[in-house]
Amino acid sequence: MDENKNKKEMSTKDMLKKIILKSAIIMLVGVIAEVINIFTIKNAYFDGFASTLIVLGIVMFIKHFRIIKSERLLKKYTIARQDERNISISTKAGYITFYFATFVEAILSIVFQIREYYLVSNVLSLVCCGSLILYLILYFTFRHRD
Amino acid sequence: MENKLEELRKQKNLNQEELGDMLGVSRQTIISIEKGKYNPSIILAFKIAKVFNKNIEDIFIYNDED
Repeated sequence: MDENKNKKEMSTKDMLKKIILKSAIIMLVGVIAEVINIFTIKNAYFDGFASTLIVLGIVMFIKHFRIIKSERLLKKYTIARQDERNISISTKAGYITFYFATFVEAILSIVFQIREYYLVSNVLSLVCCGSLILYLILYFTFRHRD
Repeated sequence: MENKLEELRKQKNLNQEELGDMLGVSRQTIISIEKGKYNPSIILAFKIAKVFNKNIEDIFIYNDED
């Protein structure tokens, strides 16, 4: 069992290294976007988007760097990641959110259509239908495969 | 599902965190299983049985109402 645990911790370390690299890339993209915004675009929305990327990158970097440097945190993180109850809870929360979000999108699409906000209504309809189509594709794919 | 996990764990002088570490699950999962609020997967049930050197049926009690 110890050998398996070491293998799992090693693969978690590899995964954490990839996340740290991705967070550095996200930070870099945020910085580049911010520089482009300052010198050319000069748009508040783009500024917020760039700032979000920088903050997200920093938080991800610090969090995962701390985990990889501490044996205690690495062990806790490895267990939390593979814990079947956590996976079950996350899956349950995910599908309830999906059903709720799809329902809300459908209702809002109708409301906005009535209020003559046609662009918003069309976008919401597109997102709602797209989600349902993706769900059906995935459902039949997994049913066929498993 | 009823089980004897808490009783067996105490016989082996293990706390919930230690048992969780041995099984590769969190302490919260052990607590939930002991309280009967969470039913483990077949793989986890086999791992638990292996730790205590017992059969699954000796640890987890299946009732028709489950």
